[in-house]
Amino acid sequence: LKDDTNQPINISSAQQSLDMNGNVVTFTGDVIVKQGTIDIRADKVVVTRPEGNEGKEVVEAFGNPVTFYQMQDSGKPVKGRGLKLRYELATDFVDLTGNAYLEQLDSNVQGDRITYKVKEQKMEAFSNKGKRVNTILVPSQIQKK
Amino acid sequence: MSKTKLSLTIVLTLIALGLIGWNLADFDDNKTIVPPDDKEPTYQSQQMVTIVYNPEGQLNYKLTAEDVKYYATPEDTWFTKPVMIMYDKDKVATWSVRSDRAKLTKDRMLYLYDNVEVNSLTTTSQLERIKTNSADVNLVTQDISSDDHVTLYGANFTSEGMKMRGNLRSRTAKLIEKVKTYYEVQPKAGNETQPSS
Repeated sequence: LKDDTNQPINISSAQQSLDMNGNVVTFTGDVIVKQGTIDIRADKVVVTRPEGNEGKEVVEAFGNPVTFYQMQDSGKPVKGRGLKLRYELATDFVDLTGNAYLEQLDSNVQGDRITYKVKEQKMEAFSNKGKRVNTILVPSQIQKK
Repeated sequence: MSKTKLSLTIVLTLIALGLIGWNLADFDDNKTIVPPDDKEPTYQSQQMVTIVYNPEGQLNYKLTAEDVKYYATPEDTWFTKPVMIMYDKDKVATWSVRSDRAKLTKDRMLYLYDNVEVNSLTTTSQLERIKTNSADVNLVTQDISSDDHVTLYGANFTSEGMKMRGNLRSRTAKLIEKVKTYYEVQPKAGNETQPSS
């Protein structure tokens, strides 16, 4: 939902270490990050807050794979996965890398890197040289708003 | 007339002397030697302030307490309502540690019991307060650890865990087991919820 990025973030994990000087917080051990309808599951999540000002947090999740879920305003959930997920709160920007995969209902996109703007619900997929981006679109589901 | 006055003064002086003598004697009586038993504190003080410097002469920490009991045998010191202020190398107060009771052992370990609270005294620290029921602080390395439910309060985040290991000098803290963190996110300007189409 568009309003997700205004919601508080809840993170649960087996372990968490805070380094106050560098404003870095590292969560390890089946980490679950929840913000509104956004649900990220990873083995390790690093939350850095540049110069310590709130709202600019960058969440970097690592996993085998990291999974991402968000319910769209249109009622169609978006699911994604990849080896690494980077989520910038300030720009509501999600960046999936490492055989990234993003799907909405039966349409899906696969590539080395997929970027997804949560706010505008816009997605771009890239592949390294020599590899191709595979996209499967099921028109009937896409049009139905 | 002067004779009676003279004899009167003599009698009075005798009585006075007798009284003083009796008083002194009495005074000696109650100083009976009590055998030292280690249940009783060797010494006890109220409103204690201890200031400790490190070998280089820099202020290390200041410890105040309402009541202090020092037991010679295990060489432990028990404090009631202790408050310890820790200083960094430029003599700036960085942390305050308080609890209901604390025990300082000779190997410079401070064991804190009940309503333990560590407060950051500097504004730069993201971590503002640590609350738990028991913790121990190694005064040499400034390591702090607790095996009790711990809550960390920071600049718009709170974290909870079952155990904690940390170091006050390097300002790092690690929560272990069932950790839950809650980040408050201020709605950014111009980000209010638009009616979904």
